[in-house]
Amino acid sequence: MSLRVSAYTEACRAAVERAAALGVYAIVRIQDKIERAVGVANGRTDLKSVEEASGVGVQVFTEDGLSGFASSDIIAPGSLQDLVESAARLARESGAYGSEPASGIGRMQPLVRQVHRVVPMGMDAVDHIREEELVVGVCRATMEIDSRLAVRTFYRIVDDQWRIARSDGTDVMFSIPRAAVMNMITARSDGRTATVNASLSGEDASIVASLEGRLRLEKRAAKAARTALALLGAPRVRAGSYRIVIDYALAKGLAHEAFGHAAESDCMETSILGRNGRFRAGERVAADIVTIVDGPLEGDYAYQPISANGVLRETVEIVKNGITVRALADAFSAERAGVAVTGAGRAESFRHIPVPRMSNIRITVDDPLPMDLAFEDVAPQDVRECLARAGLLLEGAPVLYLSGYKGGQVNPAKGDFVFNCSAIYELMPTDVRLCQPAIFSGKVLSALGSIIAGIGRPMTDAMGTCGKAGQSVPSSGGGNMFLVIDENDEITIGGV
Amino acid sequence: MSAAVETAEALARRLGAARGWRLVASSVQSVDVGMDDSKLGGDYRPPRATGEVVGSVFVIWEDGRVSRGRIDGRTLGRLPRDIELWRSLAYRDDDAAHIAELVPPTQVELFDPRVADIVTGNAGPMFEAISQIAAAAREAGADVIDAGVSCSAAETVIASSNGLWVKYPETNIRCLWGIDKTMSGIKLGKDRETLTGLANAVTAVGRLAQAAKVRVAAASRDMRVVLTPRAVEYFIGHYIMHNLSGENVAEGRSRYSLEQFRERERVFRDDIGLTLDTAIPMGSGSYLCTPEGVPSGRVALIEGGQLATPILNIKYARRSRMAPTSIPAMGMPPGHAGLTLGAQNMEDWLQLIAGARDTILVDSVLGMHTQDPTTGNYSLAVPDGIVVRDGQFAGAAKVVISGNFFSALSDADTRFGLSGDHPNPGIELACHVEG
Repeated sequence: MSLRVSAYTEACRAAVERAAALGVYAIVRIQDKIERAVGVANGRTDLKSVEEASGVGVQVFTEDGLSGFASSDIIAPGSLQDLVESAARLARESGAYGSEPASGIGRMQPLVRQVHRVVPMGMDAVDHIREEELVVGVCRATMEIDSRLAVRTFYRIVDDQWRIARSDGTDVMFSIPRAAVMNMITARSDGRTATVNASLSGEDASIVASLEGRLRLEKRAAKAARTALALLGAPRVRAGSYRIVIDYALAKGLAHEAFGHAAESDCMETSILGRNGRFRAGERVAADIVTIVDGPLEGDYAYQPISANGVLRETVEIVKNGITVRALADAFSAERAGVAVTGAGRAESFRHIPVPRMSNIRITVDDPLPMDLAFEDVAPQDVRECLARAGLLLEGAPVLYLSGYKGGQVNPAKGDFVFNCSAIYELMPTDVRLCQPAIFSGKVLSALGSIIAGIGRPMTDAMGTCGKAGQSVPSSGGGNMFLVIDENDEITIGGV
Repeated sequence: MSAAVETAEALARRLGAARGWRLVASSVQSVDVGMDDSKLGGDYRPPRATGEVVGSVFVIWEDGRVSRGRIDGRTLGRLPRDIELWRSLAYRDDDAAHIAELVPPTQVELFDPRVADIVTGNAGPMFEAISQIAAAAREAGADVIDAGVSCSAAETVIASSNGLWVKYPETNIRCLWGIDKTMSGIKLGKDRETLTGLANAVTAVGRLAQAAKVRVAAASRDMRVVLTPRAVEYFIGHYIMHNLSGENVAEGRSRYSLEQFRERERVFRDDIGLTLDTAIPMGSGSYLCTPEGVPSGRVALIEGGQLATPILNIKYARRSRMAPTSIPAMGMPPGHAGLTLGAQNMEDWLQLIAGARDTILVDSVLGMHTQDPTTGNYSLAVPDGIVVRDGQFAGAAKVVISGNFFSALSDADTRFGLSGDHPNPGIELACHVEG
């Protein structure tokens, strides 16, 4: 079956021809997305929807480099010609106010390519009645764990297709299928509440429709539900600096929020990884054992093989053996940042201007400590025993194990980061104690430089949404099952 | 006739056989210009023009099942296929299966033709506004300036099978600015004047950014901290909105239960109130009626420190057996959406700061979205907490603040300071500071 966006050849041609007539260079971005969603609140369906959204954005560059953009939800030759004219008019008008010229279109090589990712359990593999039953089942199974739980389950499956055509003859098409299911679990009792999430992501409906997917999700949901209930009576952790263990979802947060954004070529003028606007390659930022890689993975929630500017996306070693190597770059800021183009441009939709950003970022440690259990089966006691065997538990102070990622935020210009977790476990030689979640904050480079060990094999399916530049784009990543970060004065567990 | 009106009319005709329906459709045109890293336009902020039809439809079929669908520019050309598609995904949701009785929408002015002119052909005033922001920021000592101005004009139809047919024009303006990647400000409005007089607001942000350049130490201790009105909006948006959402209350995901609302339980200090007003003439968060046909207006959500009503759409109003309320407009800070917190005897904001002997002024935080809103607990990084000594800015420190927002709103010592520039007050409260 051909991609839906293959139907827009005439429209692309009309836009490129109109651009040539106006003396401007055009990048045409067509998006055709089908999204189906099911929402269930406390066992009852409260949403079933299907969206078929499509549209086109046209970015033009005048002979002086001035850029303008126009978009519409009508994809037709006449509409695209109008968009080219509108974008060109805006670009030229901005010149009168001292607009900065864009540069970089010459660094993109012409490309004609089609990447159609066919998935085993795509949009039509599971009928929507069965789909609803499955999601209701996930929600009810979690609720049945305890009567004090309220559960909201949300499932989404997306078939997102793009076509990028440029004035240099580039014409690429690709599909980026994805699916995710999220359980938001609130425990309430005696006026106290605690909320913990459990999610699973992938490229198709197998996350809820396959036995393997359901089992993983059920285990995650059960673990989260038990944690939420236990948190109702949990004490608070004392604020301060500790040796900590983070799970791979938090490791993804650290790699993405705290480091990946700083390695994006468009922010080198203010990034902690930039000096005089250029990427600081060849500098030590972590121990020899640490490697950070970003790149698309087949089967992943944030898979994207080609950039929104029509450039093949590379897998990039940002840090190798603790040393910075490469940045994530698009054609527009690569030269200024002193790095090569890696096809990192991504956009939320046809309405948006692509910016360099991550796809799947993972932070891994050489020679990790062994962990034979599946991630879903690892209990805090298992983590403690693993640390004890490696001599990483401390006598006088607890090691804090931060479990579950609840989001984060970073200021790449200053290197400040903050993350939150679902729960904290104090790991002591003879005891494990659950505590309330508290923020994990500090300096990016201090956190990276303090990684001393990893536990277990790499896991790369921690799902998120990247909000850079006001756009929401799927992101994912991970790391070893757990990372151990040594105590550092510049990394604080907040305390409440 | 706009594409939204055409689409709405076609849908109204086609949905005649359904038991009930309602829809909202808007033809929206917008223009956006911006400056990143002190550069106008450039690689990632070219001026942008967009034109779209956006909207949604809700249908109750003869068997009582319901469907939700999305309206866009292609809907008109895809009827009746889209209706069949929506129908194929119908589901049972008996509380939602209801169309509001016809009630005349509130008459509120929402449109300025001068803004529509900017959108449809003369973006000059937007570029001039960016220049105005940049000049004021530079004057205030900014090293790096980010700014954005967007204007939009829309024609919207809200209609239902109970005879509702509201068609109205609307304009919106949004101005944003950031200084040195540390402090930022926002101005929203619907009229042309929104693009003028930006300098004072930018200068106020610039003062904070200037203070943040001088780094000072802050010791770890329990102390009084002052949240600026902008910071208070983060707290209202995260903690209060979540727990007053009718859906969250009814589904057990809120701190509060329906019973607590019915009993008007006291949850804050008895002089504190929270109101939602979505019918302010030319107010950024104003509208005529909700997409469900509930007229805009003023509603007390918390009165005298007591829970008054959750924010209820039709579905959760029916489930809760309470009256539906208007709904805060999406995508804007709470105050601009009409949600305001107040207390008796609020002080003047500037005097509150001037009288501060030893405090930290918090304007922005990292990590608010990571906090559990049901507990009220907060533990937030403040990269640039402004240290205030004897009413003067002494510099800035990176701190972590922690406490409980709901406890602060019950504390007799918590103080409120209102300025003329913000719909919500700043708050001085007790919390723990980790330096």
